[in-house]
Amino acid sequence: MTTEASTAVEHAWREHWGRLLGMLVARFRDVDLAEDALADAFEAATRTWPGDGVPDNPAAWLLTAARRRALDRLRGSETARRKLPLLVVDHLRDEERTHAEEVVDMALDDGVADDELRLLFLACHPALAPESQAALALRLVLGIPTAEIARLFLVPEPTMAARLTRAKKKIATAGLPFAMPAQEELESRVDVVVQAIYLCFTAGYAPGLGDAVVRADIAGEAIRLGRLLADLLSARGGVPASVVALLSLMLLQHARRDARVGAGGELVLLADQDRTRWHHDEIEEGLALLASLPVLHGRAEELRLQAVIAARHATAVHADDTDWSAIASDYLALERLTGSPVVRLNRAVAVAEADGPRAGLALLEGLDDQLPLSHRLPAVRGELLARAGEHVAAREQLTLAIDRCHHEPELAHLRARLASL
Amino acid sequence: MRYAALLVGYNDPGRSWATLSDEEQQAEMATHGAFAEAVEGREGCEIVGGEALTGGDSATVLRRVGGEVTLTDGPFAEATEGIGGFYVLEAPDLDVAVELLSILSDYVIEIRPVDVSVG
Repeated sequence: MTTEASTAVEHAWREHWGRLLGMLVARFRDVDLAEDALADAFEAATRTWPGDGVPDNPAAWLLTAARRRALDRLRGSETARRKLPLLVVDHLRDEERTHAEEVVDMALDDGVADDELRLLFLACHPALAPESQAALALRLVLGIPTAEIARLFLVPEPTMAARLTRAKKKIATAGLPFAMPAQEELESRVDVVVQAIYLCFTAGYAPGLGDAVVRADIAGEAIRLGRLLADLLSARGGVPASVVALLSLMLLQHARRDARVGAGGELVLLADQDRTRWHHDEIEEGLALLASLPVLHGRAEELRLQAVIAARHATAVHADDTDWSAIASDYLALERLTGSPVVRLNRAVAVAEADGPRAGLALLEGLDDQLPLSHRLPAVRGELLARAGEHVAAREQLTLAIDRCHHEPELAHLRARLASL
Repeated sequence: MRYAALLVGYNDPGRSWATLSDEEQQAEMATHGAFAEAVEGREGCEIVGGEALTGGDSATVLRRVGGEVTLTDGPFAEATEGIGGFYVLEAPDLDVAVELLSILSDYVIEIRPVDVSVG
């Protein structure tokens, strides 16, 4: 294939998959049929574009090819046809008559953005399991292949394939609507999408297993979904605060990705990161979004407070300039909101930086019952004990942390710290 | 779409119909009236069937063991108080079904599409 044609196919996939699939699902009301037809269309593009040249309007070409393929499949399948209600059959005739004109109008059609948004709401329907929502959003809206999604979520491909199949089957059999949520439901439905995207993001930002420090690829895809959600909602009149908070948080954290990994693939702690390697344009964008937000409530406020903390790190020119007292207060607010022991642990770290290791250690008391398997609790306690000069107790805690940790880069860091005592 | 809505229990696990006051029973029944009214007023929606069921004490489970019909006393799922009743509801999609069934605010409800490929 010529480079130009293959680049054009890849570009079209990345830019138009979700929009085209949304239009096809709107038309045929069948996610599997629409997906297969669109995949066929892209396959045809990789075959014909190198010889015939890239069409002037690749999206329209793909839509026409996919629709033709979907109609062929519907017509060719006798059993499906027998089951089709009369209305749908009529609808098919209309379809054949009008689709040529519609393709031309596609780019001008306001409804197209709504179809893409409907697709995102469908993928993140609350009747689906949260881990399916995130995977389905990547698959349907971004067009990421199953094997790739499995790799992103660190699960075997058959597991991910089964998860996606089950979710799509439920969409069809349980009658999940391809529709915009009712106005009074919109806020809570947006929050479900926000949580699904955040789940994607954290899967990349804090990988629990394996040898990667940051899996920037899945975090980057989460940001793409977040931006898309914001753009689509913005086109409908307004972006809810939870979406702004999510985007701000993701941008501010993700801006540090390159500096988190050393030359040998090792974990670089915040204090030791080369801050010139942070993506300052993304930090600026995250800060601007954050500045536009008032104090929120519930899950949106959790995201906002995390963004506030990320912003305090992002705006410290050197690690020594970090305003740890302010960060400790932010964590206190977050702890009050969530009651989470993990937040308490982070707060202890901030308090230790602001007021010394003993103040931090005091906040760790009582956490063992709540975090019995955590490697971070003994890791933090060991570090604070070491700073307080209690090396025997520190070694004990770091050894416990090493026993519990399964993440290679963190293990390397813990072993090095133990050896230094 | 046709859905079976199984009223599998109360939201408040301590609640039981028998110990409710008359007023409380009437209030609960009123939610069924409101549900029926809302379904009637909604295009494409219909209550196709539904019954309240007697308690698990009066249930009998039939099964075949080695070709022989055997009966056991009591509901199939011993652990729960059992299904108190059900509706069969016609609605265009799950969101509409959820919106309408939410009117029955006292219950935990399992919503299952009817398998139209059978029968």
